[in-house]
Amino acid sequence: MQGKKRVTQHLPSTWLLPTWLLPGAIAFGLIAAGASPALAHAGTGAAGGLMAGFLHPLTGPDHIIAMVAVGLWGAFLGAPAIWALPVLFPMVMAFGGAWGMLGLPLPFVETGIAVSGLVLGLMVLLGVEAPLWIAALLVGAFAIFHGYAHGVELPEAAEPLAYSLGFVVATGLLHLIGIGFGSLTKWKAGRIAVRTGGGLIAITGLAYLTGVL
Amino acid sequence: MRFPKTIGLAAIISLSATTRASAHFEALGLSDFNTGVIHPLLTLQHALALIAFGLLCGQHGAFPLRYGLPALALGLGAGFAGAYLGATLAAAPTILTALCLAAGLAVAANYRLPAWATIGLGGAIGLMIGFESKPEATTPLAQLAGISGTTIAVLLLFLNLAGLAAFVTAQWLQIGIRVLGSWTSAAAFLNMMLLFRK
Repeated sequence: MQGKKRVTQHLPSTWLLPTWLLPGAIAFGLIAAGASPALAHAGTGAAGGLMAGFLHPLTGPDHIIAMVAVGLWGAFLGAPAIWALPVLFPMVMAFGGAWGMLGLPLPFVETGIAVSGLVLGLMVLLGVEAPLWIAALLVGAFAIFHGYAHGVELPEAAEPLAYSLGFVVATGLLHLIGIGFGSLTKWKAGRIAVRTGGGLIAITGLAYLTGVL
Repeated sequence: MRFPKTIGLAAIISLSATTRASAHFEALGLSDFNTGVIHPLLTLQHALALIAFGLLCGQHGAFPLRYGLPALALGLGAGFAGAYLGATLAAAPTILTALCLAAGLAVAANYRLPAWATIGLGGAIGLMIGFESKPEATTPLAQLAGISGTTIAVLLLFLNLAGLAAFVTAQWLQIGIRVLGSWTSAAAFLNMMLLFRK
């Protein structure tokens, strides 16, 4: 802490503001999205590599709505949930991924994923202000199902670390989209828009649950 | 104060200029020095471990850099020396992934490791990277160029991330650092499970 105090004392308060970090983050995202699959120390495969992992959560609307809903609900709940949930989710999802990767059975995976969209969408629609531990427990439980679904495809990946990193980053960026949209809750009209978004997510989740989609 | 910003931009430009990694990068037609430079950047296990350790050393101010940086540098040197002496460690990728997991978890939890643990972690990460980064060039001069390139890239990547984490003062950016720690630990955990499974 001594070192931090000494360093920060001499920094202007505006140093490292989002002026360059935001373009940097966008540039990094574009580079990551446009990168060729990394082939270091690995063979090739249809499902392998960073891009396969990155695209996996993005090609399933059931994953997308649930991830966005996590961010939306976090934004609705405010601090500390707004950052605690996106920090917690990838780590719990990794446990689910390992579960699937090791070939251990987990019943009702697709149902669990559909229910996650429905429940999290309802939480946003109804503006449920749950305590952090309940929110973490609920989101963590759903993360197991999402991670499992990713994990069962992981052993086929050409570059496992790249695949893992790809789907973790894609998941995190989906949370970020939810948080960004959820930040509209500062305004009255924004709260209506966010709740409407939650309603649409819940309907989509219900459609997956009933087999309509 | 522009130093980390310049390095950050240079890293982004470097990343954007890269193409796909092939094992040991001979196909790229790069010089020995450049091959050494890109090795830790394009070998995901190395890059991820360095990112996690860099964030860990910078997350609680610049002070841990005083022992984290020398530990990493000494470990790297020892790893190169070990590789040249013929030592092999089949479990190096697994150990490196485990170290990455530990560093990522500490970053996600915003936990400041004691100095001895940071030194041990940095030394071990450097050692594993050094073990796995012996240049394949034939002449001593070319090998020296490769080692120099790898050393510079390892230390710059580490310093870039540590500097970024150390000088970030806005709360939402500090949260972003923790999220990065969470991502690296999650990816490392999955990779480690797969390595064990094999």
